[in-house]
Amino acid sequence: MIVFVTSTLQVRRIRREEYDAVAQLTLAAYENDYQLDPDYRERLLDVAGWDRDHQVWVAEDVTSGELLGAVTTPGENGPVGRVARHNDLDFRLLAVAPGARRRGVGRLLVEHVIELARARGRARVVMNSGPQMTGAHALYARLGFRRLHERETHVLDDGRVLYAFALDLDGGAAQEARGLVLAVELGALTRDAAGVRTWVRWAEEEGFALVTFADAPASAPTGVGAAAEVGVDAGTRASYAALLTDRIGLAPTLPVTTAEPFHLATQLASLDHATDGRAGWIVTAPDSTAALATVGSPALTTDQARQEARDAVEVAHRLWDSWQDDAIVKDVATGRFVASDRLHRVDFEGATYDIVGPLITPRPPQGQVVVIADVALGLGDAADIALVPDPDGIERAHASGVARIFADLQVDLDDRPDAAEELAGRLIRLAETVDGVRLHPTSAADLAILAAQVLPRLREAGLHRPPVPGSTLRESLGLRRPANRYAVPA
Amino acid sequence: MTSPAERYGTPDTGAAPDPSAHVHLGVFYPGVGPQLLWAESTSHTSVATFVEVVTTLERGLFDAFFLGDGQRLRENRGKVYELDISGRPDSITQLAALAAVTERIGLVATQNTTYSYPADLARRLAGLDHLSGGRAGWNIVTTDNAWTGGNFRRPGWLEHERRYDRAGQFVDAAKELWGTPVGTTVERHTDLVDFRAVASVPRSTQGRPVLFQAGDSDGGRELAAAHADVVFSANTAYDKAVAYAVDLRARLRRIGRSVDAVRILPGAGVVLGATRAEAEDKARWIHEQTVSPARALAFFEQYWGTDLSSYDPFGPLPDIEPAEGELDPSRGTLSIDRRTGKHAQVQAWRELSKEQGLSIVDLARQVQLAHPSFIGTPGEIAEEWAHYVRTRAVDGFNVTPYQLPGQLTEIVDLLVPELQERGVYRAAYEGTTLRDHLALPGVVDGVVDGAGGTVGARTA
Repeated sequence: MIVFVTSTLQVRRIRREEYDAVAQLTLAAYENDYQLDPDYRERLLDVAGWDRDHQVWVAEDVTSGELLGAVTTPGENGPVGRVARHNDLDFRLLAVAPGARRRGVGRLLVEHVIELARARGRARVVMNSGPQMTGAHALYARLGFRRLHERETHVLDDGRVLYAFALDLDGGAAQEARGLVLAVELGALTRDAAGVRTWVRWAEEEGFALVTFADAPASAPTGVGAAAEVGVDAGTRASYAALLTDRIGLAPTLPVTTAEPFHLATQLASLDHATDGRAGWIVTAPDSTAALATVGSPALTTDQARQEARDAVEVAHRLWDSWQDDAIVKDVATGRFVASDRLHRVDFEGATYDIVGPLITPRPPQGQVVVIADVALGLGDAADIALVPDPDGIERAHASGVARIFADLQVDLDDRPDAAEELAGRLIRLAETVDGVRLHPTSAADLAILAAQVLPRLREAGLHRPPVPGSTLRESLGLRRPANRYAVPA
Repeated sequence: MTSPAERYGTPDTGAAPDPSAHVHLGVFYPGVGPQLLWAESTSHTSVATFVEVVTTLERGLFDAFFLGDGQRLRENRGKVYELDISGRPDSITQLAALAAVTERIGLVATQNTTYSYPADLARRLAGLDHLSGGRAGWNIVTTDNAWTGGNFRRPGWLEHERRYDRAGQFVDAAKELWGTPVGTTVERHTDLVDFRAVASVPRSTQGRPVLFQAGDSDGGRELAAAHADVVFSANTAYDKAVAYAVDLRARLRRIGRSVDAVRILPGAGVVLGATRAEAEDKARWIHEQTVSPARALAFFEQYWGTDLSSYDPFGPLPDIEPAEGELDPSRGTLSIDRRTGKHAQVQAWRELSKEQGLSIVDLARQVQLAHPSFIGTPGEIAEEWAHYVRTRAVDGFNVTPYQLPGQLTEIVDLLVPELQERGVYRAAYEGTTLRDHLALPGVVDGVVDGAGGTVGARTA
């Protein structure tokens, strides 16, 4: 595909036989400006890997056939790097052969990326760049990029920060603000079939990207007057919503300490298949005597419960990779349905149990189900989303390296006339510091006020961007589809 | 050709013959094994395939759709077995999704009692039952080895001999959780079942999930007599079906349950043709596909304990001696009665193949019998099934498909009308629940009417 041609230069997708040449070109370009550590050098050279997970483009001199530069943009798997948020398009590994500088190669490649972003309806092009790359920075400035100071969080070995740049494509003030991914916990409204039908569909129509299903083990009450507040389990309610919806993410709460981790991984992979890639998992680790008694086990310490959570998430991640995407071969000639060398044991050794694997279910469509947990559970970057119930937690979540941070907000709108306006203002301010919010409305009346008074304010502010039908949850979150840890690159 | 009545007569089946009996039909989708011809079938990982299947079956007024389960991928000589379809979802998760897009068909989940927690599984099943409006079933299975346990917290914690004791206590506990009002504390503290939990899901329209049981051993039959609403037996041939019905009904009488409290639905293949000859040709072709040359070699590799891929499947049996020792029981691809006497078995096969001049694949096809199937025109099979149910040898069948979803469309469009014409199949769903479809007794306070079989002391 030829997408951009000047007099003698063109930008096109890389060809398989050019991987080595582009690796050498990129290395030569970067060695000019960077001290490359061995790990980074190795990743730089893995052009086949970059092109498998993303899209590598080359600039070619059409007359001589010489390759002069390259850049990597996202394919279907979400952003290439960590700087992109909702509705951004990012790029990495922009490289110009040292002998081809000052010929407009860099500019041509960046203009190509901008065109891609426009074609895909993105609001902004973003990227990181080392502070010493002053030549590139001048180019970015000429093209209209500005520094994105609020996302310059990565400190380099020499103490300087990694720069971030952004180009707003529509230029309007509304586009200045970041999007806010909206999630909702519907609580008891989804306790039965009619409730799931009505309210999960409501959330989807209102443009929420995620609905969560709260749950806890059906433990017998211990205190006087304590009442059990559980009904149909969250996993089954989320599954029931799978075929009633086509774009909203569905995340059941599945406690890890009162379940078999292998079952949890199977159930979540199955939910991801049933939703074509919209499954999430709210991880909890109950530790009380009453909760653990439901499975005939003694209470756990807080540390033991956290260890259980880390182990359950780690083994789930491995089990979801235990089938390579290409494990099912259906090869009539040899009679093989699956290729056993694309199915992997996980041989997990946890604190209290071991699991052999592989999973009984093929790899989830998202590669990995989206893992969500309260920041206090301490999953760090093993989670995809940290839920932060109070502002103090935001910094902690940032430090943990988690990809997305959601403020977790209780919402009570029908008590005061100005509550909706206050909430809208609060959400707009929050958009500066978090990627999303999860709202906990307390009643159907709250939902009506949300729809009528709060969401329109977010739309006006350019913050409310509903998921597109057919999106996976990862796509709605701007998260890439992870590569498989067990797959050997071809 | 003789009629089924002439061929089979009307033997005593332990229940009075019923001229107005109906055929109850389910479809069992195991999700593994050689029966499904995967080259002929659409994607089994796509939920869309299953939406099409259950929608078709609902159009055909089937009682139930039924998913199999297994908690470890099957292996051959230490590698994942490659030749059969595999990769299945959690059955409750899948069926809950299908519940939302269907209205009447029963949805039966296979779940095992060895590596599940009673209160948790009872709650999930009650949830499926509640959300589906009383259409859930549970096929109770046990896991017979520690090899599967390698995927769980306590591998091999339960002795093989006690797996049905655990299952019985497990089902008792589940029934109590389903039978008591929401908020009631239920607890069990025995050697095999230990929990304290609360009944948390409101009673469904059908009272509680319908219980299916498939084990054919003595322990399995006792469990079925004590707890099952439906038995999914392997006894499909008429004489075997009669013997099974007599045995099961004697067990039911012994513990004071009505013989009408349990439906008998054996597994069955169905091969339809415009003529009998055409159906037989098709059945032969299916058997050849099922026992393919690659599967024939894999079958004997299990006995030889070595790689036989260099042998021609159309040539004679390997001349090398099998590896020492008995069969490795861990694979999960051989039935348990084939796990001992390996060397004598190999010797017998050698003699048989020499005597009849059989190649590897010929012998495999001869020793691995075709899945028990009804083969013929839709009219012939309808006639046969009418006799089975009117004599009470069975109450219907669980059809195991060889192809998805087209074969099921064929059954719905061609066989169902023939059954209806003979008055042995419903013209419309009369009830809304799986219990209604199966014409099972109702449930009062979690206990099936007329069932005295629920046992299990509550200890605190």
